Amino acid sequence: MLHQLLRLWLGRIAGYVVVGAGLVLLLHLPGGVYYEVAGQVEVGGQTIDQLTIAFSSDLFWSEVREFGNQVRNGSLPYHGPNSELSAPPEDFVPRLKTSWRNTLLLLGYSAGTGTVLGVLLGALYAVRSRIPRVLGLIAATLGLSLPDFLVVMAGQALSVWHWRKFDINLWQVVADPYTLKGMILPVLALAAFPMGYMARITGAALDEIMLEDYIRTARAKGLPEARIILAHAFKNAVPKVLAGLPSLVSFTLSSLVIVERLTVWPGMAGLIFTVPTRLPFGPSAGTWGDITPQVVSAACLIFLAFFVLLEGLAQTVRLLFRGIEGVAP
Amino acid sequence: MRRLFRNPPLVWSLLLALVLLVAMALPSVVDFGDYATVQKVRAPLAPGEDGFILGSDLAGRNLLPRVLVGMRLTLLVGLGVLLLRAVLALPLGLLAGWRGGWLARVVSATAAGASAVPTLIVVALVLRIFSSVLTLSRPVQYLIYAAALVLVGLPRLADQIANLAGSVKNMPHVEAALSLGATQWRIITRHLFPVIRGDLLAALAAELALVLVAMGHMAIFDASAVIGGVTMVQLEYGRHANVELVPELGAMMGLSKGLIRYYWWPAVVPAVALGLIIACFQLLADGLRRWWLRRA
Repeated sequence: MLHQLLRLWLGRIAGYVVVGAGLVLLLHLPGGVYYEVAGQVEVGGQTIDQLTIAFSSDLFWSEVREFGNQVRNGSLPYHGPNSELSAPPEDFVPRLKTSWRNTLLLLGYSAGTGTVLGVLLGALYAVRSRIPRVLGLIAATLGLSLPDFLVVMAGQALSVWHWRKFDINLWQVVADPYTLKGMILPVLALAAFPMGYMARITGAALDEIMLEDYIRTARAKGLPEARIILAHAFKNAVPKVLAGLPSLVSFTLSSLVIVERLTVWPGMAGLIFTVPTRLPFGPSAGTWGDITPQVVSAACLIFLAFFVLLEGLAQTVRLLFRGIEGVAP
Repeated sequence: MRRLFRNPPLVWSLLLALVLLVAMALPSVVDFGDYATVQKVRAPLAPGEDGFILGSDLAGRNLLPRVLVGMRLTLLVGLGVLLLRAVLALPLGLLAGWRGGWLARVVSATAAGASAVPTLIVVALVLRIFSSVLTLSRPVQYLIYAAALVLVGLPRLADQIANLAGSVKNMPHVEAALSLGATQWRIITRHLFPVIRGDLLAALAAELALVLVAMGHMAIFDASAVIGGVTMVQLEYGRHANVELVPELGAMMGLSKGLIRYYWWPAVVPAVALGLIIACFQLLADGLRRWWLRRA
């Protein structure tokens, strides 16, 4: 067991280092690009410089080194969209911390809500009555089948339509997201998959367990159905439910970026995808605008760390519980 | 037939598939007029306005036929990606499952590694960086887009097939064939493959749904515009937008999402169409799994 755990975490740390280093290098690639005057051309009677694109490895490595120094010093200087270039740069780290907290908050609410709802829906599979079973099946299928972007877009369209028709905003779509209302749509969209997934695996595990001899014995003894499900069947379904955690974490974190990008939630995704598009020449020479590659790299490294840590923890839980799988009550 | 009706996901998926097929055939049967030329409009028409059932897109083109044609193209691209994934993953997975050893360990480790990082997000990010630094030609963009979609899910599918093959290789009929001196190729094709083909079919249906979800995600990162090309249109109040030239659901959805608060339909209608296709294949996968489970 210890050997397996060690291999699991070493593999994840190695993967994090390789992918993280690759991303940092790629993100700083634009830093090495510069323009050279190759000659002059006449356009509409005016003589203008003809520029050619070139790449300097010295420039590129100096950008990477600068990022390394900034990480060591724990500060990420940047110029805000409205600040003068001559003014001293601001530190981005406080903004990064806020977005990190926002992402964790959204993830916690949605994964928690989805998992609890999913397990409850999955428990309906074990009920002998037909209607709860069908309801559970429909909810699980909907949760698994509807893609995250559809839930967000349909929700936004509904909110906009409702707003225009009745002047009531169902949830925050376009304005200040720092409210509970701004959280409803992202949580709805993010909780749908965990709900469907957990309902499916809980239901499948309970379906199997409800055919066991000890369940038949408990029923023969006249125990109430709720107690049979919760105290006998559910206890034994836990290892199987936990086995699905790694996939759940992986899907939810991938989905998180999509949902954050589509809604106005101020999390890490917005920072990750604000990749510099302005090249360092002309009037904007020496600046990358609002977000620098260093800031995007820091956001990427934090998000990757989230992903690797949570996925690794889920795999660890699965490994630890594998030992008690199939134990009778 | 009785068995079919006792499998609700399969019934629902077949009904949904029938509806989608009829819808996709409509543009070949019904004359929708010109729905390809970019019009000069101040604002797109809302659903039901001026005889446009689903409204018009940001370039004033009829949205209904564009979505129906877009469904065909999206499904075609999705099937192409699935085919490439399957062609690469099937031999690799079968061989890894049958042989075990280092090959199985490499396939399993690659799948675990790929699931331990948000691969598609990394790919989308890399695409954005490259397009910000270099001007990529259209064929190179196509190639990167297709390669990203094929490679992202490949290790997972290969691992899934390896697990399926691994669960069958110790069955008595395989051991009997082995003791009779059957070759490795014969065992894989005649004894392993037929046993797992039901599960494989269900896995491929689920994989197609995942490919389509990945295409939707790529569209959210503005990467799907490479399929059909883009042009810019001017709208009311000084707003402007990029619109796709060739109708593809991902591109339609991704390019219109920025103006959803003013005009919701050009983004939501393609998203619903893509969602319906995804739901159809998810249900089909679920139904097929139940079908083969009951048969077993």
